[in-house]
Amino acid sequence: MDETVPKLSRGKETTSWVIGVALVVLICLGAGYAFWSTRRTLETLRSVDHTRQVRLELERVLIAVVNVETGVRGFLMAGQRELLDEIGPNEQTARGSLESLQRLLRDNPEQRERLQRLAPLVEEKNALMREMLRVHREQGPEAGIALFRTLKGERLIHEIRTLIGQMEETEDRLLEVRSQAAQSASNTTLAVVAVGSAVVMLLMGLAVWTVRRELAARQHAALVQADARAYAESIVDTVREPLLVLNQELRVERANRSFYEYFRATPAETEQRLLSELGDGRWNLPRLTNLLQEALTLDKPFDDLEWEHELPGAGRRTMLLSGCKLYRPGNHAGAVLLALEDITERQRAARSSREVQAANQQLRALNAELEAFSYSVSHDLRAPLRHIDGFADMLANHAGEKLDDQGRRYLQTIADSARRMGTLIDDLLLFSRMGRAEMHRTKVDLDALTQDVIRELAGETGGRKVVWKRQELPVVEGDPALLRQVFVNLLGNALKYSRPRDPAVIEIHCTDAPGEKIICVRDNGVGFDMAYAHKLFGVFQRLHRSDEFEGTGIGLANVRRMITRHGGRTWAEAELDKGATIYFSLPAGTLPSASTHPPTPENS
Amino acid sequence: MTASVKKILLVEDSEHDIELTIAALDGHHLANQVDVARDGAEALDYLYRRGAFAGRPNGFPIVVLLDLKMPRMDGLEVLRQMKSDPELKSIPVVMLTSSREEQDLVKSYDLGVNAYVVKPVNFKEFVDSVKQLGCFWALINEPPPPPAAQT
Repeated sequence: MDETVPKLSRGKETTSWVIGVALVVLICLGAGYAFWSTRRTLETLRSVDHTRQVRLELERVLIAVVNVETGVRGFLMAGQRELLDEIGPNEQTARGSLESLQRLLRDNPEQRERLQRLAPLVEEKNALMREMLRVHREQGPEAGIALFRTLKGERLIHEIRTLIGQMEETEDRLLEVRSQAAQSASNTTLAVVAVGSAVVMLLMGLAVWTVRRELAARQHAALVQADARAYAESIVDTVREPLLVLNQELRVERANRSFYEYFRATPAETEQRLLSELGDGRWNLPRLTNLLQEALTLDKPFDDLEWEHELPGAGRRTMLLSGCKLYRPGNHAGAVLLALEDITERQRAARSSREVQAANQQLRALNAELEAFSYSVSHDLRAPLRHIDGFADMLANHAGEKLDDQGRRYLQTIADSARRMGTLIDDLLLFSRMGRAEMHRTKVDLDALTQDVIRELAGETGGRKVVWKRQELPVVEGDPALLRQVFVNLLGNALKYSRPRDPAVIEIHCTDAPGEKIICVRDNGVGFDMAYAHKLFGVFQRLHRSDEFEGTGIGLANVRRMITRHGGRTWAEAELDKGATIYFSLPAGTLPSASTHPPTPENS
Repeated sequence: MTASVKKILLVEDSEHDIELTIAALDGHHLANQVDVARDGAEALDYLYRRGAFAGRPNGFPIVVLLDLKMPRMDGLEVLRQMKSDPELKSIPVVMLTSSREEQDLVKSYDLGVNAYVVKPVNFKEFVDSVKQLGCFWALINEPPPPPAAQT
């Protein structure tokens, strides 16, 4: 949008320029024509005046000639002496008018030629009149009158009249031609002026319309620009990273909200300041200044300049600085955008992630060690036990008859102890394997699972009367083999410790608690003293003597370990001789992913 | 060579275990058929009739009872070499070991073991196991035909 609008108006501008120039030329032509035509009209008016003057002077000449003749005739014929006084002035008049004509007609050759003929005729005529007067004075009146009657004067005056008539006619004809030309010129001028006025009116209208349209367009453009600016500013303010816009001198033109929040600065102490002055000179970094100058002058952006600084109230922070040139419409100098990113937390997270990885590595090594340990336990410790048992047995076979009862009992104790130790080792290995084995999570129907375990255990009750009270159990998520082992241990214990009861009553319940399901197994057996409850889930911890109830004391330790791996808890309640209740919980919903990996080796 | 007595090869590093095993087999009069190798390397020497066993009569044992953990070469390596040799791979191999570690079981079966028996700590159970083993492999099981007959 920003690019197409100027292009369009540039095209329009060119067109309107051409039109404008054409109109100006047109108007100038019109005005020129009007000027020229007006001048011609003025010239015509002047020539009318000229013609009139010429005619006037010609009339004067004629009248003067006629007056001279009339004066001479009056003197000659009637003796009127006073008439002679008129002769001199009239001759003067004729001479003056002829001079005037000489001036008036100097640019018309035809009339001038006639004038040159006229002037001698007038002179001749006047000279003739003077001759008559001289003859009259010297030779008598009759001689004067005789000369008068020779008609020479008559002929001269006729010639003069004819010439003047011709000249007047010529002037009249000229006047007519000029008047006609002036008329047509003034008509054309009128038309041109009318058309010109119309054009000017039209142009003015067009100009007014254009200006108004231009104003509207500018207003619209200003609105669009304001919108774009608001849009850009809202983006800049929304960005979480601190941003600075710097001008050519690296003076802050703008900073976004994040900048003010991060550096706890105010616009007053930031805007229009040099970057190097900000924050007590903390930005005065030669390397940064160089990079910013390069970004501005060479249009070379930079990324990820690492910068450590002390931020008041937040301690030492590491930031990445990036900059690039900004192009702004109407500002060729440009500006540079400086973006800042605080990577302190990210670095810290990376560091702690490295630490976690190292710890994991260590755990894996420990686990491998443990594996090697239990392997050698299972192989190397069992072999000597087997030998003890084997050779004790062979000794009994070999020398049994030589031994008394005491000796045979000793041998038996050796064999029993070896076997018991074998069992302990096996249990210990089982316990270790429980903790290390991969968990395979799936949906487990606890209801079906307990039914199955009860059926299995029922075969070992040896005809005892056992009452199973079983509530319906939920489907949970977990490792079926481990959960099965949990129930084998718990229900096996319940059976074992309720052996003295007839009937033994074993109950299985499930209750919902916030975020978890709690399952309990209750028996009416011998129970235990709650004072020792804390020992119950320990490895090889027993609350009964082994001659009362067999076992190594690994069962509940295994239960706790397996439930812990499912993200659950285990606890117990009991009263001596009134039975025990063992509780365990399983998280409702999906298991925490952390429990899918073997936990750290524990001693409990 | 088919006339020669059927031999059981016991590969075991522990003197006590050798004695106990032979005592157990004695009950079925199989004891005199037992040849003993004290580690994996010796077992291969026996099978290939080389080294200390260069002079032994021709023919393969009807079964190899193989301990897992031994000095020099362990039982899994012996098993691997036997099962990758076309001549030896048809000899039945029984792992007779203290280890009931899952990884040992898996590896042994992967390598093609014919049976896997955990030595019980209890001597009577041990004797039972070994007797049954001896009976089964020496008396009941029909061994593969010797290589000569195969070709």
